[in-house]
Amino acid sequence: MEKHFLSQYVSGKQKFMAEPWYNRCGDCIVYKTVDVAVVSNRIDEVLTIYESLKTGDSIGFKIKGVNGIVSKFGYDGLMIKSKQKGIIVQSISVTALLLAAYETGPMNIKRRQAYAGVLSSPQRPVLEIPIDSLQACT
Amino acid sequence: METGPANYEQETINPEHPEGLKIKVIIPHLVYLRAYKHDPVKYENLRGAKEVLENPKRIFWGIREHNDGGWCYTGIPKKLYIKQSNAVDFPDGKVFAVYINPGLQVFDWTVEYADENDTMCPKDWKERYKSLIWKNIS
Repeated sequence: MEKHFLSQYVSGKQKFMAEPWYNRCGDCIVYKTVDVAVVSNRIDEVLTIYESLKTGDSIGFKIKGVNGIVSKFGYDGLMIKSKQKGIIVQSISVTALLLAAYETGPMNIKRRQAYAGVLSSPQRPVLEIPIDSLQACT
Repeated sequence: METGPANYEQETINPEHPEGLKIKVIIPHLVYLRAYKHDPVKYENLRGAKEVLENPKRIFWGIREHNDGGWCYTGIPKKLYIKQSNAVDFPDGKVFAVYINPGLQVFDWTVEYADENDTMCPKDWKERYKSLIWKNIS
């Protein structure tokens, strides 16, 4: 395999993680459950479904314009409070974010099916993103 | 724009003056490091992003409703990694898209369904982007 052009800048153990990540350079939350190549299937301004290139199965999603949604709905309607080692960690619920996003767009079957698919996936754990990570790139 | 020795600079066409001097866009350390550590197949496919930036076929402007500006560069890389050590010829009917924010930072790179009439464009590009600003006609 040809050497990766970034290999001199990275080191350490690689371990795929199926957990949501806020990409502050793109103001989006990405969540992928399997370490394979995906095709991005854009549903609307907010939601993109990741489909396995090989099988076509939905294996994750991307929520775009996160700060725009938060600005519109406020943290109150999206927030979860959880205690970790005595410290209250404030996070927003990815499910609440998706529901808020769904409310903002046109009502049609394509959107309804896509959002329902993402929200009802049996493998999907409760997903949340700490509020203090939601800072866009400067 | 974030700077630092670990951010990778990649030369590409200036989207504001496509016929002028090339510019350098940044692949932020935080973005490629996250891919390297926790999304290895995506990290491998940064090779495709570099290829597309070196030889884009289309450039679109205005990629988000909630975030002003930003560009999408598209093209067809030679290979696509479907697993970390398994690359295949880039699949038919798909196009590779590299997303750049208004701060000239690469924040995402994805495989997308291609438009039926112009296979160098992502499907539904007319609804997704504000404009097609440059097209490689060679």
